[in-house]
Amino acid sequence: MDKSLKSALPSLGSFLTGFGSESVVLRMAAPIATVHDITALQYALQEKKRYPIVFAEKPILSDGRESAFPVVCNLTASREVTAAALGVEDHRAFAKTYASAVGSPIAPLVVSRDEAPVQEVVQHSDEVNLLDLPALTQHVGDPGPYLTAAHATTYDPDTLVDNVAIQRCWVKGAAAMSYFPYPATHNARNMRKFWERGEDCPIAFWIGHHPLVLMGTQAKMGYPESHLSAAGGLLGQPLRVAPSVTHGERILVPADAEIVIEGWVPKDTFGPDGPFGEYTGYLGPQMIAPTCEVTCITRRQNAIYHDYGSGLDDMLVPDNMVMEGKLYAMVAQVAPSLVNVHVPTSGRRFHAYLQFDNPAQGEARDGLMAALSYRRVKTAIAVNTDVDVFEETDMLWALATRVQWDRDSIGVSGLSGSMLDPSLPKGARTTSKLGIDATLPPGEGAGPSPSLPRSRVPEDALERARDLLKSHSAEEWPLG
Amino acid sequence: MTETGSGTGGAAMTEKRGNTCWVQCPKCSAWHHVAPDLLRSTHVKMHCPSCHFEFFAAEAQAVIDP
Ligand SMILES: [Zn+2]
Repeated sequence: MDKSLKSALPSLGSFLTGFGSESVVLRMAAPIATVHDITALQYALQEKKRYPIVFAEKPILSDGRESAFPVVCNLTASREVTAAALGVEDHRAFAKTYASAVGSPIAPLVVSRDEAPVQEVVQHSDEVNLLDLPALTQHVGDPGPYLTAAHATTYDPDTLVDNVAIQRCWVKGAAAMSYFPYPATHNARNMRKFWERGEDCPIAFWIGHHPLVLMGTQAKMGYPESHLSAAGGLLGQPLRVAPSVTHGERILVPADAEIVIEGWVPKDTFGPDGPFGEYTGYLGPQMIAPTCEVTCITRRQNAIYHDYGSGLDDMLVPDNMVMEGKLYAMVAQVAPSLVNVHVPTSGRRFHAYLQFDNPAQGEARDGLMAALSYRRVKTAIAVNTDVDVFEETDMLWALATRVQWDRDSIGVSGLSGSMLDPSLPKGARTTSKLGIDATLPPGEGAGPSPSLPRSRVPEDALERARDLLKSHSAEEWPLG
Repeated sequence: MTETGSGTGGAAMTEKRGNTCWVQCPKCSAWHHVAPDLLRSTHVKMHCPSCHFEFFAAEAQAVIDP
């Protein structure tokens, strides 16, 4: 293949080159520890509400060695950068664009192994050493380094359809790690099917790719249904995939990824996994998890290692934006006056804000019920277009002034929810949810809306005031 | 929204109770928290994140199981 064409293919490297400016990529040239310090840097940036992509050139492993691979994190911590990856100028418009792009899937393109940069280096059995990878130990209480951006790929042995999901792995030795798919996930279902046949489950984990591929493969799909085509829909071109070394065409891996870890999940073999810092912002308990035996690692010659800061905006932003796309499609089906959806990182993945344009009587409540049927959503709030769903003070103002709780709140119990919700009673398998209709009553024909008008000053007076402030320096202000 | 505590189900519905099991390592005395099925497992040992010792619940220095 022509080398110039190869470098232009969508990949983590091509994305970073496109965002090379200092304002978006924070390059850390100094050595920095993979145990806590890289994650601490993300916390320090988040404290300042700054979300650059972090590129650590010299990660130091827990045994004191300098890693041969740089670490990229905070890749998708900024809504603006993440939306820009999809070519969406305003991040607020992401939901609609995402819903339409994954709704038009494009089948992947299978290329040969020698056309796959991710197989430039192939290490078999004795050469495999997971401990060479700069996997981070993120939080106090994590028992060791975790792969957090490993896209676990399995397939359904009945239909041969592949499935991809980000699932954490605790690196326990040169070729050993834990592998934790939640029991409800499609990968866990595939694994159980192999085990029921008396077989070990074939698996491959790929790490590092263009954010569009990362978000496309996170699209919520039916079972069995391929995520690789959804990634193509988002890319606007087929995702290039190649046969894995261990599993051949049975497991195709993205040809332009950075690193692939191949192996088996042995039948009925379990070990401890965790505690681990979860997306909820809490350290989840140690659990019983399957294990993974690694047989082969392939990678680019100059591979970049990608990490997601678990529970940080780094991981929440892309995931929540993907949720917004899915929720938009679900709610719009029953409530056509839906304008936008925001899944705020403040609510982790539990809150959804829905914005409607003069919804008809009952329509906002229909929309709320649709949103609550999404497993992770625990609270959904409906507002009108005069309320900015991306401004939480605006959302709280709507709650304070447009809601009569007995009339406008809908409580539903016994729904499927996230088992990671720290408020769930011990042993609970379902959750209770709340919909809140904070919309205004619908308008009736011509004339003013039948509600109190919002206090405001004339737009031209506001512009004059803004201009006036430009001539005053901040130092002169009495309250700083 | 919530039924206030009248009748027999009231207290169960409204009283908050802890939901997290903790174990104390027999080797280094550090505490860590575990899922109930791991706490009760007789085939998978718990792993101390502080000293990496592996043990069953019966060997723990102490257990909190709310
Ligand atoms: Zn210990």
